[in-house]
Amino acid sequence: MGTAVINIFRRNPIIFVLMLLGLIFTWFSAGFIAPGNLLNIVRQASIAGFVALGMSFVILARGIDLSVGSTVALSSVLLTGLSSTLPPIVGIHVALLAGIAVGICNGVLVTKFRFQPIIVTLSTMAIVRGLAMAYSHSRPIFGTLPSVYFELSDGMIFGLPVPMVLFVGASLLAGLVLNYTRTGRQIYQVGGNEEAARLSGVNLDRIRIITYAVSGFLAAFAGLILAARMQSGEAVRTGVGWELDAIAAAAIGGMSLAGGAGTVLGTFCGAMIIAMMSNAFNLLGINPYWQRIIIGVVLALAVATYSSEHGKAALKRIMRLKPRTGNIALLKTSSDVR
Amino acid sequence: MIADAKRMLLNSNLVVLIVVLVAAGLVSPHFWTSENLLNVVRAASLIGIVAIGMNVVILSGGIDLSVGSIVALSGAVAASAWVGNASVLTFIGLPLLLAVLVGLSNGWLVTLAGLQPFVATLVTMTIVRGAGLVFTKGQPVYANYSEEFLYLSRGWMMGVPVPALLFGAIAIITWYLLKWRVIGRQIYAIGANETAARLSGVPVNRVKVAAYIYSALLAGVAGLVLTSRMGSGEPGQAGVFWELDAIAAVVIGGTSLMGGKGSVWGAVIGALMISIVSNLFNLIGVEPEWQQVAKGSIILIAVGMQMISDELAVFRSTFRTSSAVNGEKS
Repeated sequence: MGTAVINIFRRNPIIFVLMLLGLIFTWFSAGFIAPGNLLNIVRQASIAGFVALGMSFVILARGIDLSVGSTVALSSVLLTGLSSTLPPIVGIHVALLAGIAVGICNGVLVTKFRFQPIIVTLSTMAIVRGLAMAYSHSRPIFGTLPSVYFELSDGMIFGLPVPMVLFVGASLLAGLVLNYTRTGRQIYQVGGNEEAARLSGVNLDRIRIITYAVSGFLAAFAGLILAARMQSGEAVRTGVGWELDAIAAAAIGGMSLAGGAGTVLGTFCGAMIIAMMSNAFNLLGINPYWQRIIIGVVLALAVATYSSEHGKAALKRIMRLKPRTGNIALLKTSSDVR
Repeated sequence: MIADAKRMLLNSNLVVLIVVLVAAGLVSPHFWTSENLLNVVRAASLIGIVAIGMNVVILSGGIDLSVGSIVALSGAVAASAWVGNASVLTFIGLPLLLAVLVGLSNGWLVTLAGLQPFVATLVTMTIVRGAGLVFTKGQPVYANYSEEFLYLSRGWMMGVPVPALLFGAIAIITWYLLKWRVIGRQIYAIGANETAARLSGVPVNRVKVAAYIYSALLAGVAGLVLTSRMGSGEPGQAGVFWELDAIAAVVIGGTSLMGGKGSVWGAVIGALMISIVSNLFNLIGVEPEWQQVAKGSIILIAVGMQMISDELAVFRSTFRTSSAVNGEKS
């Protein structure tokens, strides 16, 4: 059990960064550690976190999904639009199915038509956004959701915000699926070495389509919570740029865009770090424009550390948790010589 | 040049362009007026200039997401310099110098730090957009440009809009560099097979950095033209999603995102095609929502046609080789 925990930390050095940042922000701003503020951060992190979680599936299988921001918008207008005449439960189902449908379209275009993922999802990003705008006539839809749906974003379960409980639940489920199911392991395999996966009998197309469908589903889910939070659906501005935030969260969390490497816990921490930084910067009164620059720098540092040989070696040294191991080894060899 | 023209004629995207032009004329009687056509070219030229730079980076096997932010930064800096009564050299030179610096950092992040191009330029996209906003405190900068500078975007020369001439000139220069200069051939070599290029003595890192600098520089030029057209520098709004439009133009033009395959004319045709289609939609009154849907579909269709034509070409060449071998035998 103890080694299992240590292994988790070894695989996800980002946890230490998260803790360190937490300490730094607590040091500089007294309000940061207040329970109300922490819950706020978590609530913020969780909506974008769903998108990042879905993106992780796609990235693990060596794809990329730029259409998620548009799917968030589509789902939010579908829920609010349909709720004007039908019970919201219908809207929820339609929105989630639409998300899955977008994902399956992406997956089929990538696998069966062999288009490049960037091109496919760039196109569906435009198409889905256009459909969402056409459905809502580019106008926000207000006041159709019964107030009970406000609970979906602002309610509490066991004293925790509902979106957080849902997000943690989804992350745990995703982690279990990726680590302990055949499909999950195959996703890593496809991303790690496509040719080897194919030769060992993995159905590449099926795995890829599943990852895009998961991404579409989770983006639609984020759209639902967002609509509940805003009490409205809007197609033009909702979710713009979220695909990049999601990619950033996954990359900060140690996921390789080359596929096959990374963990759900990493993405979780990545999403938390981004939300935490923007919250702390607001508390500290840092100009929001500087925030972008700082987040960019953090992303660069994180990815550079993961991808460069020096960075990897340094991480390994830190992760060993026994700083003097190197010297001990040296002593041993010298005594052997003697 | 003649062989080039012949290849272009055989190439599917030129055929598609002609089909689109003819179809556009049939759909709307106003399309084929010289005024409208010049409008189309003028609208294409801004994205076109960015797309040419993007094309160079993509040919080298990379991608540059930072171009939209560079467009905004360059425009904002130029407008601020104008308001601050800077000398002409600073006013034109500073934005372009900043653009080159961004390109240099893109190149270094990709080559020295070993980041994937997508991530590296995602980072600079965020940072540069933030830098532009910090520089102008998030506010648009309104500048009373002189007639000479407005000429860059609104003027006419020999009956052609100036930005279109600029677009054409940049296309020809880039074509020359890619086709006839060592660096151009090296870019193709790296894009096609980086290891092979390195082993045959191509200074891979230097060439890649040069490609990113070129792309950033052209984005800086586009930023100058844009600020001249709008009479202001918009750090937040200018150039948003231009990287995606530029990638779309490049892809529609038939350049492979895997690198090493395609030509600058592809980007030119792609930019024209996007501009023609959106012009046509405006003429016949398609709502912007459906324009968006159509734009996405067109990218997919163009890529699909490109793949079909590639496969036909492979089929044709295998057929030709096998018949030649048979000819030798008999």
